[in-house]
Amino acid sequence: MRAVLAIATMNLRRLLRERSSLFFVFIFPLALILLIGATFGGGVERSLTVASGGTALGEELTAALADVEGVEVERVDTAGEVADAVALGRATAGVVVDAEAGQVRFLTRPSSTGPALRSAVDAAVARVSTRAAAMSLVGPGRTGLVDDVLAAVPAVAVTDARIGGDPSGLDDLGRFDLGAAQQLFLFVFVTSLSGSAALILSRQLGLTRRMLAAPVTTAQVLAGEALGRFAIALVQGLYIIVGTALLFDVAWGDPLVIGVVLIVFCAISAGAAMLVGASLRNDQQASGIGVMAGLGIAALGGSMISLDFMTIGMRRVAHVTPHAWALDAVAESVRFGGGLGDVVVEIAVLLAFAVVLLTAATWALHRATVRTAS
Amino acid sequence: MTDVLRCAGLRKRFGDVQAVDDVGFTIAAGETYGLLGPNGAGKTTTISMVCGLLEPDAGDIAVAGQPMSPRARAAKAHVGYVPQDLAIYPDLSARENLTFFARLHGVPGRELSRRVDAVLELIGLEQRARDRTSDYSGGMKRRLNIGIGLLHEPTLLVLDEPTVGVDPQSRNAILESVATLRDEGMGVLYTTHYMEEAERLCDRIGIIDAGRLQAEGTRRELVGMIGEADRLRLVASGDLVAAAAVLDRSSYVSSTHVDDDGLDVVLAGAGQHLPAVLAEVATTGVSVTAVSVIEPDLESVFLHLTGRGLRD
Ligand SMILES: Nc1ncnc2c1ncn2[C@@H]1O[C@H](COP(=O)(O)OP(=O)(O)OP(=O)(O)O)[C@@H](O)[C@H]1O
Ligand SMILES: [Mg+2]
Repeated sequence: MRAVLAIATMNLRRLLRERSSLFFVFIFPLALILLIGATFGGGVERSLTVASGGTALGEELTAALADVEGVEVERVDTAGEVADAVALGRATAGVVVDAEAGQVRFLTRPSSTGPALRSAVDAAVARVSTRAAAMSLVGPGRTGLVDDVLAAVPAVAVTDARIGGDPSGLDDLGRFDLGAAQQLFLFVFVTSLSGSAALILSRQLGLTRRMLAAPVTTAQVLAGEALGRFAIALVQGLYIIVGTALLFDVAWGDPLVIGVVLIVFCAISAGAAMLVGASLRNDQQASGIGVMAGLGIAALGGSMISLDFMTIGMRRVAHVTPHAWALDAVAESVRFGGGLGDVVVEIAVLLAFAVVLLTAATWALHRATVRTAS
Repeated sequence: MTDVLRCAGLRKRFGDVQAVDDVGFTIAAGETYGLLGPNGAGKTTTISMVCGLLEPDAGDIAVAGQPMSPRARAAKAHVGYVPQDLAIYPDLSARENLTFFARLHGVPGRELSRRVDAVLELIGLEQRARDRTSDYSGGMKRRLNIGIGLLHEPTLLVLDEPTVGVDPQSRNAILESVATLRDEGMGVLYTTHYMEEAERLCDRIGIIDAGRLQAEGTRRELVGMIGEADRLRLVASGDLVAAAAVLDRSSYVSSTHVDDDGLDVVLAGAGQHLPAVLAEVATTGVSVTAVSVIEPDLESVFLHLTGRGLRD
């Protein structure tokens, strides 16, 4: 056990020693999460571009919309300008009032958080049109009475019920929350894979051979290397979780869920790194392929483009990666307050990934190690 | 006293190459044994089997009485192995490298820093102990490479060509520290293709070529094998191969060896036969520009045994 720990800590020490890894492991992930949170965190500030058509009713609706919490209204003159603002992404959604035709048009892009504003717009339209109807009943000069009556009617608030990954769930979360989970699994995996180069270098430099000349078994050397990869992944993961929780107030849900998911995901990453380290001969190649494959698999698995924005077919494909399952488990815990019991399936699938990868990696690395001993 | 190393009948084949063919020798405590042979002779392959890195096709190995194999942890604990190619972590310091391998060898925690300090002093790297080894000079790396093999105070120290690529000064330092360790009772297995090193350092020498141990003994015994033979070095130009052929036919010449700028002739009584040798060579039209008589040495022995130079 001492030999195993010695090999594992030596691996960790080498990671912490590398200047470039200090940047990629410790600075880059938090910077990226900050950047992504700042760019796409549309959950808090949403903008609505409105063309009121200049009628009194239009003005009244615009004012009502401006009163909605968390929505910033920008006024423009024509329907064309509204369409442009929405199409170019300057506005979350747009509203065009055509009083003559008795029509209010609501404009959004698909795959945006725009549809979430629909209920707010509906509610405002309902209120304004109710008031207009009441006014026409009581006649001019009695506006005070109408307003009193309306104020006495309790406002009906429509709340969203969110099923699974409905994009409208975004507005409930902090701006960094989901992006942080995506980056967590991306970085744990990529950092692990890029560490596979160290395994190859150990073989090339005759260090593996030298270890085997010591009174240790091949199994101990393999276990030490595996534990080293696992420790590297775990350091990366814990750093992102603790760092984002402290700096950006990111919510990680039930500590038990994120803890178990992280540990199993680190085992998966360690297995993948050992497999790459055993199969390739050239360390440069390994870091290159490792990082590219790590990014590719992460992208496929919803660590770059959120699973929320994927089509059903794409989501199915995404679930060939462990990332998608890990993200599902975290989402369950963070969005719906799910506990360990609610993510049994996800964790079972992740465990299966870990077992398969670690078994294959041990076999491959054993072969490569025995070969270098001669 | 038990021998620190006993091996017998070692064989190893890689595909078509019989790398080691029936090699056996023993090393007593406090004895330095040299395996002297040219590139590809089978030195590293022999050492790999002795250190339990490679399973022999046939033969037995015992280190300090313990049978050696890739799974034999008890036997491996007695061996300090210094590989031919540098095997140190470039991104760790000398101290970190030493500490890591000491842990791997099971040096207990309270002894660890004492041993590491002792080795750092022995290899003269105390001042640079905290620097990354990638910033070291070649000689410093070599010294660390050797130091790692000494950490656990092994019974048998195995050095595979430790002085290759080292300047004469560091080389002397290495040879001296090996001699000191031997004097402290450590058995040493030393491979080299430098005749001078083998002569200076080793109590007994095994001459290995093409996987076979050609001869074995002290320097004196080995040189004695070729009788009273001297080596005559002729610096010459012309048809050297023809000259060698003529000499090989004469009764007093035991062997000849041609190289780029002359030929070596092994014979008994060089002084007495010199005029005859020069006359024979002259018949082939070869012109001799310098002649020297060399006392018998291991190079002559190797030449005598294999008909080739050590560094062909
Ligand atoms: N792993 C291997 N696979 C195939 N052939 C090998 C292997 N290791 C050694 N050989 C062959 O075995 C023979 C002996 O090699 P070895 O490395 O033991 O020689 P050596 O005496 O150490 O030479 P050098 O002085 O160059 O280090 C050579 O012909 C070599 O090519
Ligand atoms: Mg060799």
